[in-house]
Amino acid sequence: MTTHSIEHNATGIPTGKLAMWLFLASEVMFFAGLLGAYIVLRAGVSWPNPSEELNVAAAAINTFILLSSSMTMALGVAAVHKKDLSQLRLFLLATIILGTAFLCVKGYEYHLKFEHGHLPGTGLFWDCYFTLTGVHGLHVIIGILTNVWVLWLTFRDGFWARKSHLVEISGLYWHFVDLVWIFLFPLVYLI
Amino acid sequence: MTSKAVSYKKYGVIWAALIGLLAVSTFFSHLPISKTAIIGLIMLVSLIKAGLVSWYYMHLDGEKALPLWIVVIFPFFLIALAVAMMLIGLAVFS
Repeated sequence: MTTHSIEHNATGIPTGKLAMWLFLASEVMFFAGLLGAYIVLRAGVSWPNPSEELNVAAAAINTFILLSSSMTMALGVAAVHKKDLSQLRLFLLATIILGTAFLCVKGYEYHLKFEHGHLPGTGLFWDCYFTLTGVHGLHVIIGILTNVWVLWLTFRDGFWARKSHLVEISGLYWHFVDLVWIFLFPLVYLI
Repeated sequence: MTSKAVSYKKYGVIWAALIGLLAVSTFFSHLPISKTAIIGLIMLVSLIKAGLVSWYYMHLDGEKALPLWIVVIFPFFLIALAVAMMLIGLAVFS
């Protein structure tokens, strides 16, 4: 056994990494179901122009934030490969802050919609908007909490020996959250 | 230049490309062309963005394990196909 506690299975892929990819594959199917329902619901009915109903600028800023957070997460994984603890903490913290900023912008957007009386249950357009962005927002919250947990682990004894592989696994989840938004942004706000 | 600087620079270049593509997709949504063409162009840009994130940030560029490719690529391909067909349907029938 090496000093690392990463378990490998018959595939040769670290078990945690393989499990995360399998989970992400199931998540792809989950979001595909949601997006599929959204597209089918839109077809054949009068649909408002999203750019007139929604705040495209806020969504574009959020896309910028999430794309930037993907970069800081990737840099965090690179810092693990270089065994640079201070940079790893810095990039994890940056990812957490950017994720929180995304939620703040989203919360502001929701606040404006609520003020105008646009709530879930007030029409198909708003039902779809709140469902798709709400479920994605829930994934962002889970990703932030996971990164906070990983950041906390970097301050614990034995991080490099037993836990450093969790940065890559947590990163895969975070990038997936970004991938979903890459498709949600144009489908909900632009098209 | 150290390997650290090169590695970090690569991620910065990918980030710049992603931000550029974000601007491009927003620009496409305002073009005076048919809705079908706008949907096609914007989804193409989204696919390129998703490809950059998965290839470089999720490190599929260095992934050689065949089982992982089967697990990852197969569902992604099927889903992309299904969503693309539904989008075409939306553009044609709406």
